[in-house]
This record gives sequence, C-alpha cells and structure tokens, in this order.
Amino acid sequence: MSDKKSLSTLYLIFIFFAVFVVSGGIYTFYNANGFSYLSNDSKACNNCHIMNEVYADYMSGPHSKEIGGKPRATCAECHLPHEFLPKWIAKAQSGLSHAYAFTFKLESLPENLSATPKSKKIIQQTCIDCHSGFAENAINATTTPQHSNKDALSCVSCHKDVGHKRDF
Amino acid sequence: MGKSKMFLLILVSACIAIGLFWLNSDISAKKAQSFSVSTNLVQMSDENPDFAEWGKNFPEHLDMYMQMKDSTYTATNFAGSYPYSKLNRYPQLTMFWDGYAFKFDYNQNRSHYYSQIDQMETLRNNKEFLNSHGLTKFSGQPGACMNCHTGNLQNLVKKLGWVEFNTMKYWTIIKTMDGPDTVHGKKMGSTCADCHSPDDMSLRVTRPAAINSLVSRGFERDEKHGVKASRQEMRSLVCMQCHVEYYNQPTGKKVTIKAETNYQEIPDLKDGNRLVDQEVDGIELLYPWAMWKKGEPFRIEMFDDYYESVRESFPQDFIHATTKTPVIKIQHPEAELYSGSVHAANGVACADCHMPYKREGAKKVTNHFIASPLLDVGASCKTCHTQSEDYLKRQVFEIQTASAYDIRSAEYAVASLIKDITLLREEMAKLPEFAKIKDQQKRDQAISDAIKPALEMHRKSQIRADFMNAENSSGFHNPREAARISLQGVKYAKQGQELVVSIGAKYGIKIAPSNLGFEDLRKIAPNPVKINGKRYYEKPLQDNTPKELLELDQKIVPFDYQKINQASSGKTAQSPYYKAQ
Repeated sequence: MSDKKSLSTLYLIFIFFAVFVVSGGIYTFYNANGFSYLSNDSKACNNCHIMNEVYADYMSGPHSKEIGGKPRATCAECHLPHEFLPKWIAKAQSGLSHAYAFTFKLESLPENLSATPKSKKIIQQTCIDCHSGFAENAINATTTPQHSNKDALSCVSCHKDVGHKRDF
Repeated sequence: MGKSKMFLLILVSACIAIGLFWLNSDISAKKAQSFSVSTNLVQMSDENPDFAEWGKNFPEHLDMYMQMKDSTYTATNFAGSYPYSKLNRYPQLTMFWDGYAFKFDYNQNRSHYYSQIDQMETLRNNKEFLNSHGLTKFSGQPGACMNCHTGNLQNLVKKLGWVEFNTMKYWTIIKTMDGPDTVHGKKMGSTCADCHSPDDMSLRVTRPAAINSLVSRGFERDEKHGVKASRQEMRSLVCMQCHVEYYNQPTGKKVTIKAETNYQEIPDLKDGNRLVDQEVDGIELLYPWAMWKKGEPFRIEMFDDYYESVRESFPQDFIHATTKTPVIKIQHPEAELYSGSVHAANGVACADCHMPYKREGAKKVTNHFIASPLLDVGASCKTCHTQSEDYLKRQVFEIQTASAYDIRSAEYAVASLIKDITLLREEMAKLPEFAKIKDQQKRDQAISDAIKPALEMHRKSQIRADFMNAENSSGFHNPREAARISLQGVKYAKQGQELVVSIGAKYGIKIAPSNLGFEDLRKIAPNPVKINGKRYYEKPLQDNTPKELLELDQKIVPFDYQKINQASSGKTAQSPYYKAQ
C-alpha cells in the first residue's frame, strides 16, 4: 500500500516536471523567436546580431529589391535547396548548428564568416535554379567541378555583390 | 512501472527543465545586449585625459586598451611588441648611429600603453650613462621628444607654451608636471584624448607638430579637429600624428625656459637642484613634409629635397663618429611609406587593419587593442579579402621576407660603406698633406672636404636603409616603394664605395671595397647593457633577439630559397606571431 502511495507521489512529481518541460519548452521556443525560423523571411536570419552587417549588405544589394511586395530572393532562397525535403533537412541541420554555435561558441566565432563547401554548393545550385533560363550557356566547363577539379568557378566568383559583399 | 525507472524519468525531466531554464536566461541575456546603454556617464574633458576616467563611459574600449598592457610577449617575424634589442638583431645599426645615443639603446617598441614609460626608461634618455659612454656633449633629451609619448601633451603645451615645451629638458618637464608618478599621471602614455574630442568622441588631431606639418602639406586648420578631413581620412590622420619621420627645427629665436641648476635624469627635484629661468635657442618639433603635397604619394626624394632646403638651419641630427658625415636619423615613417600604397589608393585607413571591427555582444566596436593585423587576420584582412586566413598570412610572409631581403641588402651595403670611409679617413690622416694640420678639427674638416662626394653618398644611402629599418612593416605598408627605396640605398652605398676607391687612388691609397654580411655583423652584436655589473633592463626588456628571428634573418641574405620556400609553404614556418616565453 505504502509502496503504491509513494509511486503515485513520484508520478505527481514527474507530471509536475513534464508540465514544466512542455510549457518551458514552448516558452523558450517563443522567447528564441522560434516561429520566425519556420518562415521564409530574411528578417529571421537577422535575429542573430552577428548577421547585422551581412543583412545590411543584402538589403542594399539587388536581390532584396521588392517586386510586387516580395523581394526577388530571400536569404533562404539562395542558401537553402529549393526542393521540399532537402530544404527542410538543410534548414534543420543549419538551424541546430547555428543555435549551438550562438549559445556556446559566440565568443570564439570569427569576425568575418566564411562559407562552408556545402554552403557554396547549395548557393551555386540555387543560382542555377533561378537563372538557368538565360544563363545556361554561361554555365560552361569552368564551372563544372568534374572538368576543373576543386578550382571550378562559381557564379559568385564574378557576381560577388549580388547577395552581400562580405563573408563568403 | 518500477520505482527506479520513475526516479530516472524524474531526474531526466528535471535536468531538461534546468537546461531549459538556463537556455532561456541565455537567450534573454543575449537579446538584452542589443539594447545596452551606459548609465552614470562621467563628464570627459581635456583637463583630465586619464584613460581610466574616460573609460568609465566606454568600458569595452577601456578593456581593449588595457589588453595592450599585457601584450608585451607577442612578437611577429619583423615587429610585434616583444621588446628585444633591435641593436642585437641588426648590429649594423650600431655602425649607422656611431656618435649618437641610438647606438646604445634601441628596442622593439611596446604598445601604446607603454609609450611614456618606455621613453622614461630608455638609456637614450639617461644623460649620465651617455656622458660616460663617449657622448660627453649630450646634455639631456629635449621636451620635444615627449610630443608623442604623453597623453598630457595638451595641458603641457597650454601651461608652458609650444616652443618652450619643446625646448625645455625632458626630465625638467617631468619634474614640474602636476599629478602622481603613475600611468594615470606623469607616466601616462597614449590615451583616449589624443585621438578623440571630449565633446562627442569625434576623431581629431591633437599634436601641434602634426597640425603644423599637415598645414605645410596643404591641409586646412580646424579649431576642433586639428585639420579639416573626412572621418575615413581621420582614421589614418590620428595615427599619422606620430608614426612619421620628424626632427627638431631651430626656430632662430631665443626663448626663456625653466632649467635646472643641476640637471638630472630622475623624476624629482633634489640634491640642491633648483629651477631657474634661462634664455636659450628655441626648437620646435616638425615633420619634413613641405615637399609632400596633400593627395600625393610620398617619395623618398622629398626628404632629400626637404633636408637640403633647411640644411643651413638644420645641417644634421648628428655627425657620424668615424666617417664625420652629417647624418639624418630617420624615425618611424609609417605615414609616409603607406601613403603611396595600393591599400591607401583604395581608401583603406590605418584603423581598418590595425583596429578592425569586432563584435562585443550585439555591438560592432573598433578594436582598441592596437597591434599587428597578423594577430587577427580574420578580423582585419578578411573584411575585404575573401581568401583563407592561411593564404593571406602566406602573402604577408612573402611580401615581408622579400622586402627584408631588400632592406638587409641596403643595410649591409651602408655598413660596408661606413667601414670603407672610416679606413680611407685613417689612411688619409697619415699622409703628410693632412698629418701636418695639427688642429684635429681642422684636419678632419680638410679630409671631409677632400672626400665630400663619398660622404654625401653615405648620408643619402643611410637615409634610405634607415628609413626602411625604422618603418615598422618590413615593407608591407607599400612593397613597391619599399623595394625602390631599398634599391636606392644599395645603389648609393655602392656608388659611395666606388668613390672611396677612386678618391683613395688619387692619394695613392689602395682600398678593397668591403662586403659585410650577416655573419660579419653577428660578431659586433652588442649584449644587454650592464650598469655596475647589473643588467640595466629587467626581463622582458632588452632581451637578446629571439633565436627563431635570427634563424629567419640568416636565411634572407643571401636568399636561401629552399629554406624560405619551406617556411612559406608552412612546413617549417613559425606562425606569423608567437608568444615569447
């Protein structure tokens, strides 16, 4: 009998913590502007102040110019794949690593960020996705990795300022 | 479900709850950083330029400034702020400055925090030591030397008068200064007020010598900011107040100054030492810039022309002890060399590389720990250059070692010329024609007249080698001009040696031109100075050259391409900077 009683007390304690974790989790998600990251809005990327300069660059660049109330391209449209599943996998991956770095490694982050090889690949693909219609004949041997090895040119090798000036 | 499982569940959920709690507070704290506003602002003024007082309003900036206090052990391949003896690393300099205080003491400088402390402690400011080491006529450094070493300059000039301040003796000014004998008083080096206006923290030029000299170049005076200039220009001009070549121009007028009856290089008045009024020839600090017009790149020939134009009132910094050449000593002409560089042409200011932006919380701040950009290539170079840090460091290494080859070649050539002229003079003094002149001064003068073209080559070649050695970037500030200046240094020194041979031949003296190199000069490398058997400087000051740096120098002239290539490809290279000890 007393055993059952103490087990039910434990259940109560557990429920208390469980409720705390769920409500606390929801609040943390809200406090961290979690919902904004589910959107496609470039402002969400600028939640982190280390993006301030890059965001300002983007806002003065051609891709942020609005047509019919919508920017030509948002951060996500260049930095994430366009197909549904790869997009959300990439988003979850970089979201987690960004959250980790921002929470635990903020002090040691470099002043000027550099794109990772993976990021460079995605950006090159998204350039092609939008511009292939008229830029197809410019996508020649020098831009295909299998023809010129790792030193292949990319669109942003020449079109440096279309997204933002710094940090790639 | 068992009890133990339940306990585990509770433990795990409790840990998650604590983690969430912590994460939330971290998120809130980082959000709050975006809106930090200082409270309890203090009133800043020129009356009290103490960095601790101004720093109350700018705590992050004060923290960065104070980092300079502890940067003493950081050396780069060619500079840094580890204060080893440069005379030991480059012994040719003791030949260059024979007959001048620099022969005895010349260290790699420490950071801005130490600018006044280093000035007080240097043996070049020690009258007793210099008098007893052959410089019998040395009567003490003038106040002019303090222009760039004290944060109290504004008040001193106001109190003493501009020419009086320059003309008074250094230690007499220290003794009559108000305030405690600490880094917040008499020992204060560079400080906030040197570059910032107390009204709105806007950038300003405060050094009267810099303002006068900038005006001589065509700048317009400005009451509040020293000269009229854009903010980006100011981000260089504040550095160019001091990182320049300068000299003490006699004003040609007498001034009345406070002098001591028994001048001593100590911080207080004692031993029957009294202050008296004295009428002396006035001097003022000036930069030799009149030929260098605003908006033009600097050329080394402008110094030749300038010093020629003032030669009557200012013939030399000192007369060389063995060659008797009237020598101009070049200081640290960063402003001049940089002005014609590709970075300057693209509007890059000194502060862009030496004080790169960094993040402090959500704020973007200029790094006030002023140092070599090699300490943080990611923050400085990569703001504009998108290549990897390793690639950028390698470029700097390539540029600096290539320049070092040129600079060392010029120095070795000048040292060889000095050796040859000295020999020629000795041999000529033995000839009956000169030996019969009993008065030594007249005899020296007669020989000088006979070998004047060689002496002029000594003066001009030493200006060039000295310029490149004293300039703090080993050519990086402007590699093209650095190569041109060094090449001229070699050329004029070699021409000087040809003249020595041909003049000697005229008098029947045979001289084989010497060709001094690294190993020859190691033999005359001076050891740390000892006074009464005790090392004058305590560690880390005036340590011998770090051995890694000497190993590098040994590979440079003659250029050991195999070892340099290895170093450049990162196989054996020391990192571009390292912590000594």
